[in-house]
Amino acid sequence: MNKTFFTLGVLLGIFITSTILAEDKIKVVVTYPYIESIVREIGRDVVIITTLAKGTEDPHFVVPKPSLIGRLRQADILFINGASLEIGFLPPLLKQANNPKINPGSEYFIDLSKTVELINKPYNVSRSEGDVHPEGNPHYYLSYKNLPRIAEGIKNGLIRVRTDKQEFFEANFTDFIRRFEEKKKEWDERLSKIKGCKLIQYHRMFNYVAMDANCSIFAEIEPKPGIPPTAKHIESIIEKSKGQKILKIIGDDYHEIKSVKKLSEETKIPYIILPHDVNSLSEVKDIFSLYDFIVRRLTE
Amino acid sequence: MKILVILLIMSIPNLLLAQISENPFLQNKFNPDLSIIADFAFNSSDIRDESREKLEIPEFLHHHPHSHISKARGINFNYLELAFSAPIDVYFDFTGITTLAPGHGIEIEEVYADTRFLPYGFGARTGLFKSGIGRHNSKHIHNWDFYDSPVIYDAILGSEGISDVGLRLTYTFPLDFFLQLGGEIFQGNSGEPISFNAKGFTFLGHEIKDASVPSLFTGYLKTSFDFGEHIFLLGSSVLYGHSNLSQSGHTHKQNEEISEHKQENAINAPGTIVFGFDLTYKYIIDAHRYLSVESEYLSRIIDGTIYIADDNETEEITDDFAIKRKIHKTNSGLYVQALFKFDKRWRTGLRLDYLIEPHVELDGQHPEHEHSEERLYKISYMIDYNFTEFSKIRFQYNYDHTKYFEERMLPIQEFILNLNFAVGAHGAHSF
Repeated sequence: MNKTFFTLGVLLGIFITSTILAEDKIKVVVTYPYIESIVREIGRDVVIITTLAKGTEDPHFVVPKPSLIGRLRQADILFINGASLEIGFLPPLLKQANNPKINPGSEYFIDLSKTVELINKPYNVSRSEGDVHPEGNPHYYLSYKNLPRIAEGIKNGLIRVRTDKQEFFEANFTDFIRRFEEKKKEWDERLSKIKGCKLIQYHRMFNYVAMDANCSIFAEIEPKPGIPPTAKHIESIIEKSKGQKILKIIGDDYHEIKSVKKLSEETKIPYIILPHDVNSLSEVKDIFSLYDFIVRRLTE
Repeated sequence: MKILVILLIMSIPNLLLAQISENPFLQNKFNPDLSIIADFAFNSSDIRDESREKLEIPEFLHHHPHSHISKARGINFNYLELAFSAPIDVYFDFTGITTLAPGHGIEIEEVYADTRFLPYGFGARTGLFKSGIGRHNSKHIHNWDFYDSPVIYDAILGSEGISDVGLRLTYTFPLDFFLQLGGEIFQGNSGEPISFNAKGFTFLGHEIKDASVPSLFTGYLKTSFDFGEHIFLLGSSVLYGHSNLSQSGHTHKQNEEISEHKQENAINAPGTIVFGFDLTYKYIIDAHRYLSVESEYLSRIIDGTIYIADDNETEEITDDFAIKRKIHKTNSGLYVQALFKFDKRWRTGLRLDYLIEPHVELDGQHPEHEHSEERLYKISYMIDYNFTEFSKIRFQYNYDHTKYFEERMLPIQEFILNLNFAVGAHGAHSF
């Protein structure tokens, strides 16, 4: 019996100390590292951020670590990418966390895909089309032109939690946008050199990048989104690309690159590996270096 | 004029259609999410189907366990599962899961409401649901890593675990790692009376009375934390409930002549305890590969009265042809499994089931066992290929050294080829 009381005492102790130690900061949970990078820019030292996915993970298949439930339980606000990218791992974690503040549909559950316009909305929503997202292509954050709207959504969310810090967030946002505009000039200028180009990509992921560069996606190595390439499909791309002027073949950091290399060898089109998120490659440390890296690799 | 009439008549269906498509009362946006799962298996084994019905694990399991997955030889349609879920309103979420299976008809697996409004990390669930105890218990069949359930579950909690009508309350601690405390109250009359049952019955003239209900109480504590790519999940659970159990078996064999005879017994134990510990370790290698080790230990302690149908005239016979004894029995066992996801689409794994020799006392004495005391274990190997998240093919090989047939250990080999399909709403990836 004494043991039971001891255990209960220890649990109560943990509860009390953890409540007291909770600081006057906004506890933010985000799903992907790129969101973390933007929240850090706007929230600075007022936020404590927990990121559910790692930059090296496949964003569609993030491991639902139970340890993250504790963070979701305490969260003041949750920012997600949306467009069904988190559907496989976030719902069960949210259910376990029992935090009514951040349940889907509530005030502090913020779906950033709602701040931008999505492209590639499937005409035919069927799993026979592969891993399609009914809302449209979920990799919208890879377009730097979408960044101001995403950042604004984050700023508005943070203000909702702490209205007393509104001026602080507004100032950080203005500063962030100013730095972005400077960078944007550089990126626009570099991308204008490859205007009208044709690109081949592994997964249906860099369509927004192509849009920024006024380029078009000529082919995808995956026959359908999420379906690994077959020899036959690669043959057909080789056949199709004969006599075409294709700038680059884009692989990414978490899919296999064997097929990318093979296609590059056969077609003599150079290939590049692009990051899909912040922290996916060691050089990509924040949201600006993500776009820097993508633009540089594309235009090199 | 005629033309005008014809045109008018021709336009009626169009007008009707326009009205239908613009029906302001359409509510299909409120339809719940529906997902459908179908499961098939091709089995081959060295035991005939009719003999399988008579298999038992002495002092553990004395009947053929109820399961939605078939071990029968040949091609089997296992089940069709329909799962519905939707928010009920601002306050509750609804989940309903039914299965249709040949030989089982339509069964309601789970139907429950979860709260979405409780503050301070509290959550409540009420309805018919799988208990949150242990590691394997709350997993749905299609999320099992192996085709069949661990032997200790078959023997103590049932192939599909504890699932009953009741109420659950959980509290998640406000910590930077996961710590959750859960408590449940169940009616205690769950489908398969292996350890817990509150309903009474009459056994050879002895009336075993209904227990007061609700009669099954559970509690569990779970924690999870990680160090970089190394993730740990630990849990401990306890169940306390009433056992009115009617068993048939050959366990207390008296002499060779009665080996054909099915000796029956009934247990009445008011305070049966099951406790368990579980540990899961997962190492994330990269975006598509991981290594995981999972283990769970369960132990059951029954303390009560046993009525043994007697067929040996030399023993003291009560008026009702049953011998009444005090019984104290402990059954324990565990499973350890290792899984390796070595490619985006491939997983392979090995599982070892082990049952610890049961401890039985009748009136404070150890009864004589005449069956050979062999080690009880089972080894399973599986490899599965996931075309996508929605279709899977799995091969499994079992070497089962836990089952007795007509009082003799009968090692069984099984080869299973299992197909699973899921359509509709996207299910969650399990940890």
